[in-house]
Amino acid sequence: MSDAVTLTEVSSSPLDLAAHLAAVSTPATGAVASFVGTVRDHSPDADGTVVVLEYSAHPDVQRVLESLADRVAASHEGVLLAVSHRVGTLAVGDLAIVACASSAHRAEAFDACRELVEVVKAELPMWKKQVLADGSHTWVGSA
Amino acid sequence: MSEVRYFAAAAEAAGSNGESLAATTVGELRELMVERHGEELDRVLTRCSLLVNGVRGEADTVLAETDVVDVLPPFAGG
Repeated sequence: MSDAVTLTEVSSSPLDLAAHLAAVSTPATGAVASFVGTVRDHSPDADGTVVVLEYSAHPDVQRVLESLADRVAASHEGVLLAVSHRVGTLAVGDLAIVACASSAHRAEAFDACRELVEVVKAELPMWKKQVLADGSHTWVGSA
Repeated sequence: MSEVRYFAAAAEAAGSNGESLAATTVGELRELMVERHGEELDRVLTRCSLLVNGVRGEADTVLAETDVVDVLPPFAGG
């Protein structure tokens, strides 16, 4: 992993935003952009109220997360990145993804944070099962 | 025999996380999967990528004895 990627984790424990902010903060940092993706109670794929999300992952997920973060870091010079994704059973309001990017200036931090979240959503080998209030479930993107 | 690993919606439709199947191409393997597990898996497979040892396989991709084939529904992280 590149030195510009300071924290990557796929975890079954609750995610810690403060740990990600700290991981990208150095004396040279002038801006930190953060993103928190949370579990919501509705979805375009679900006809009803979502009560639980179950995230599952491919066995290579940690390696892929590291390589995605490396790729984003390589295209944003001077940026530090930290990103984690939760796996397992999450309730509404729980944190599913946390991403932070720091730089000397805000523009690079915003750009890198946004790109990091977008590539993780598109390319991280994870799946999301939505459990509804009536006990039924749907797989996001697989219907 | 190739080792097939099913994930997420594909595992649910197959009723299994994996199995060993004998096929000479990815296309033949797909037919075998549907024959064994039915139309629900067929429906899910239309949206899946089949990776042979981590590389996307097409219907005419030739399978060797020791290949690992991952059946991956569309990713949905975040």
